[in-house]
Amino acid sequence: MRLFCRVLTGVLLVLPAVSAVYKDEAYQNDWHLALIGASIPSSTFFHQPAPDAKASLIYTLTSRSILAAINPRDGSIVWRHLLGGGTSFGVARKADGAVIAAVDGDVKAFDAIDGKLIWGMTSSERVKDLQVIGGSIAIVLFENGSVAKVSGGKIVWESPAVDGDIPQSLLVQGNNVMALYQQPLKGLRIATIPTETGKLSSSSISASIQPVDKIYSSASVVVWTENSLGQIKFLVLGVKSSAVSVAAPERVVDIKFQASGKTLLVHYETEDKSWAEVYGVDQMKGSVDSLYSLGAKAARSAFSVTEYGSETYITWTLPNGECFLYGSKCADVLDSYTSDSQNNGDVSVLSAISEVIPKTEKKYAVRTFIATSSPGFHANTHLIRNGKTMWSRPESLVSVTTSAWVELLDPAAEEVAEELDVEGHKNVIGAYVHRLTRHAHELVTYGPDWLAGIPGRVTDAFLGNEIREERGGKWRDFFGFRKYAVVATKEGGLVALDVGRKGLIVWEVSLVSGKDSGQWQGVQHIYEVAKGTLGVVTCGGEYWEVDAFEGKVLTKEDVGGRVKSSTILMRGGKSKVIIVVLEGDRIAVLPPGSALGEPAYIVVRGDAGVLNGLRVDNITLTTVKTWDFVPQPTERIHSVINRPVHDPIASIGKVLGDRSVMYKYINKNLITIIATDPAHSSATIYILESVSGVILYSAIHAGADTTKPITATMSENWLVYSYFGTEEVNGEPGAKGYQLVVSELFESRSPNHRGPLAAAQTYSALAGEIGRPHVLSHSYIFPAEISSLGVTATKQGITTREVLAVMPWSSSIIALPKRLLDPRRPVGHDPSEAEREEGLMKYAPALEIDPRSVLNHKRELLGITDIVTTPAQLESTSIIFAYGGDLFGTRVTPSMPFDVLGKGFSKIQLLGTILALGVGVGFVAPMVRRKQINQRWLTLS
Amino acid sequence: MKLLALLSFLSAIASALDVQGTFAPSPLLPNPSTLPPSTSLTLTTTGTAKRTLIRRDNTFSFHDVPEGSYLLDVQCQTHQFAPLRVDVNGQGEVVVHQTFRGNEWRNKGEKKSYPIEIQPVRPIDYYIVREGFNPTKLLGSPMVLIALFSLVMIVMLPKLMDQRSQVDPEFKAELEAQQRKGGANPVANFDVASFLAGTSSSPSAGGTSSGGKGKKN
Repeated sequence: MRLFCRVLTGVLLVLPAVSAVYKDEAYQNDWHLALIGASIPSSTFFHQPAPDAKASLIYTLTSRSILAAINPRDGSIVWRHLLGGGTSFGVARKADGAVIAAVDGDVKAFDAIDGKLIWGMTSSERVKDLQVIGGSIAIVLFENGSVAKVSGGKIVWESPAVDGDIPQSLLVQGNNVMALYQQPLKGLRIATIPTETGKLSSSSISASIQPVDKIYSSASVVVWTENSLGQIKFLVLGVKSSAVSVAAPERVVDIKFQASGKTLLVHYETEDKSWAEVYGVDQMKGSVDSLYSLGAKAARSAFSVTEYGSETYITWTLPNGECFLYGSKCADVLDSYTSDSQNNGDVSVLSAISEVIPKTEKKYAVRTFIATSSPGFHANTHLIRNGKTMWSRPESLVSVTTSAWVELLDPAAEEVAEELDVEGHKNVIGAYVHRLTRHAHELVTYGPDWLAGIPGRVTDAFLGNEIREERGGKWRDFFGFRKYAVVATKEGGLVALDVGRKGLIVWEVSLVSGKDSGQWQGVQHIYEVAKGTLGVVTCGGEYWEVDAFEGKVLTKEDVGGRVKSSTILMRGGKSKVIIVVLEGDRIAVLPPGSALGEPAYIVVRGDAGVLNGLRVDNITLTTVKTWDFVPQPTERIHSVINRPVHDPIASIGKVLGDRSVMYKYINKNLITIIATDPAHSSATIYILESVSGVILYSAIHAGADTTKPITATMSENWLVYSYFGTEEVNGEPGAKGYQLVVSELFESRSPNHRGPLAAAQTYSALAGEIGRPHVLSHSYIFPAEISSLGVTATKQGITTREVLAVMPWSSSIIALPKRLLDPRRPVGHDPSEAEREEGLMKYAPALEIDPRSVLNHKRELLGITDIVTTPAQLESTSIIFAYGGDLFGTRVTPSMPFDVLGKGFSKIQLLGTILALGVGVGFVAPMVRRKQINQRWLTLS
Repeated sequence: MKLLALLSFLSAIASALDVQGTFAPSPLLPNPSTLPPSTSLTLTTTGTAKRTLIRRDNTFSFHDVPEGSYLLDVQCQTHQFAPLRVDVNGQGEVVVHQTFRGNEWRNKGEKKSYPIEIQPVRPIDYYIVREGFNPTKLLGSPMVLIALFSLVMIVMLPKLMDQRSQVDPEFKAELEAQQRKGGANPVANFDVASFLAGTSSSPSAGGTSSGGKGKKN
């Protein structure tokens, strides 16, 4: 036995990196939706990556500060860069063979073909607007009003700001650059600066501009509205003229301007209509003349003005997908395209950019890139070519805030159960008929077609082809790799993604309607309340029940107040109860009408930065505070972490090399609190027993950087957390870098000893009988920042666990085997015989990133905030889904796929070997027989 | 107020400077231009983290780095790089050292030149290639070699014996005597039933029984 163990450990140590990515499985088991977010309309354009390039790409800067190049052919991302953090303002402009983008105070020029940085410049002021003059020389307008010329990353000249003026926009006219400012209570100021010298001259215009009014400038004209969209004024630049005034139509809620060359389009929106007025700008006379106006059509549409050759084209895209093309001279429709897509009527087109290429005989090739918004889903993008939607990108999923797993149904058990359930509710004859039809149906299902398919299935199995699923939809596959992840967007959309089928969108439903989208406060949490039913708790105080397989809303209830937090409790058998904590610590139980059963103990965040333990009475639902946790005066609670809902523990102890056992301290009510102290730059970790509020363990890390992410994850009897540690801790030298700390809780210090609770049959946390764990810890230096941690989950918990870490700087997720982080790794000496047998390596403070453990391999994941895991039907496999920006899904086998034949197992080879052996035996057997007979006869003779 | 802000801005500029460097060609990476455009560098210390991208000309630059002691890391999809320690001191000097993760920060490694020259440590391979069936590798494995050797011996040894007995009549006689004494083949004579029953069988009895079987054949 001992020998066997030794061999096994040896084998384990020799094995390649656990849950590594196999070359033939990469891009097969994992999927990735690279999302960028909502495009900023003024920073989105078609542009030829090189001056002589035939095809153009779509370049866009999004509200998530991602600059991306999209291939208009298939919607794939050619390159993208995350330029800032959070939602910051940005501008992107096209330049020769380059794209120049400014986010906050950073101005960067990127190669348009491959996205390589050409130059960069950083200012302490935020950038308000940016224009490109020849080559890749940029003129930048800063928020403080100063203007600078930037060439090759260096400031050539800077023109100072005038106090009190609010910078609006920047425009280039010939050799001059003009900065437009709004002067409070006075009007507008236009500063003209020659691009060569940078010498400023100003002129002012009086205008009464209200906060809702718009100011727009193109190369030749400045347009603004006055008196809260009551009047529109045009001013042609470069000539001495006064502003032309036009009264705006009544009941207009929004006015947008678009210009290209000498054409200016004014887009009016009322509640139910939208139309446009097209103006021609005469640079010589300084006049603006109305060319034509377009008749009103459906509201919330989008216009785009584009030039091709000497012609200017206007495209008008309606929410139902209809598209009209106009010239710049008259209101005649040059071409119109009807849409084949069905529309639910609540869509609005946020913005559109077009590329129009005239073909022969009054035919045009029109490509329009639009961003649409519907309730719950903001800024999905589509490319429409001559009225046909070529591709769509679900950019609204970039704002996923929460997710839930949906178990699919087992076809072997539940399909029959469903049928039997139907029979049970019928009378005898009806049930009999139903059964007969069911059997007849089975005869058809497993009839000639099924029989004819057997050879195909067998060859598939032998050739190792992907097994064709006979059932899809709500029926799960044999190994349980398919599961739905239902995610909620920030805007109130609910989407089900099939994680086993490359993130296919199964259904989507909106929890908000167009009218009340302004009051939407977000989804608090999604729970699977019963098989196939989701319960959605919203922050605003609603409870929705949604069919998990179809996406149909079943019920909607009012909880009775704003929701602070919620949790789900198992209440005997399969019934589940959601406890919702409303404002004022009132408790509601969901689904409505369900009973709590027995008193519950919950933990809520108090108002003054404390943590409270509450006892919820099972009948009256009144709460009694059982304990409170107050951090040190200078500390505040950073985060609270608990064990995953599904966290089975296969073994209660850890067998050591000498066959003694360290018993794990197992308590499902453990929570971890991270408290940070920015003033003293320290972080404190507390492990609490959440029913009694007893602090079981605490650790203080002086020199922890509180401005960088501090994250933690818990599972079984251990905790892993990471922080950035500095070089000096309380005067002692330290190791600078990201630290990964593991703490494992055992019942007692000595093996084979179960601590004070050894003899107890039952024990109660309320009586304080929970013992004190013996905690072992190790700290490691990790080479990268970790923004989020997760842990793999398997069905029985037999498979070893892996800690999943999101590394934002290298845009990847790494899987660290728990065995690597073991706090029992011997320090300062090589492992003894017994420790080697346990699989412990000598402690080395620095962990290296093994590229083979990078789950996303060559994919780049941007903006991931959370990783969630769920078990597959196979014990060896854990399914992973990551969201928050990009969406990523894969599955891992932390202890190798021990319960399934992998792709490396060649059935053909096995058969070949058996056949070869058979042939060999057939040849050798007569020889051996003859020899044996000969031998006997010859010896006897 | 505005002036004050400007002053503080100017003073920040005075004590902050740019940290610059290049990705130098090396045997592992003869042409650094092949690095992906997403290759980025981070300069970290307590309270700040600066990030920059590799430029088209394979240089990089961090703007306005305040005085302090920093850890410089490179994130790249295709190559791994060693961490560096970058010290920006009050005199506007940048001092670069090799550093080792997990060591005390004051343990400096080899001093490097400034501007920083960065060279990869090793290329990154994300994948494990599954070992397929490979006949040459199979023949190379020791188990197969042993098996082949014994097979050869089984075939060759009797032939060798025969040859020797032809040459040497004495040896032949000795061999025949030995065969008569010890029975033909101990394995063929082995009686499984009696072995399992625990009764030891005499070799002669085994001999007759197997002889009987032989006649049946």
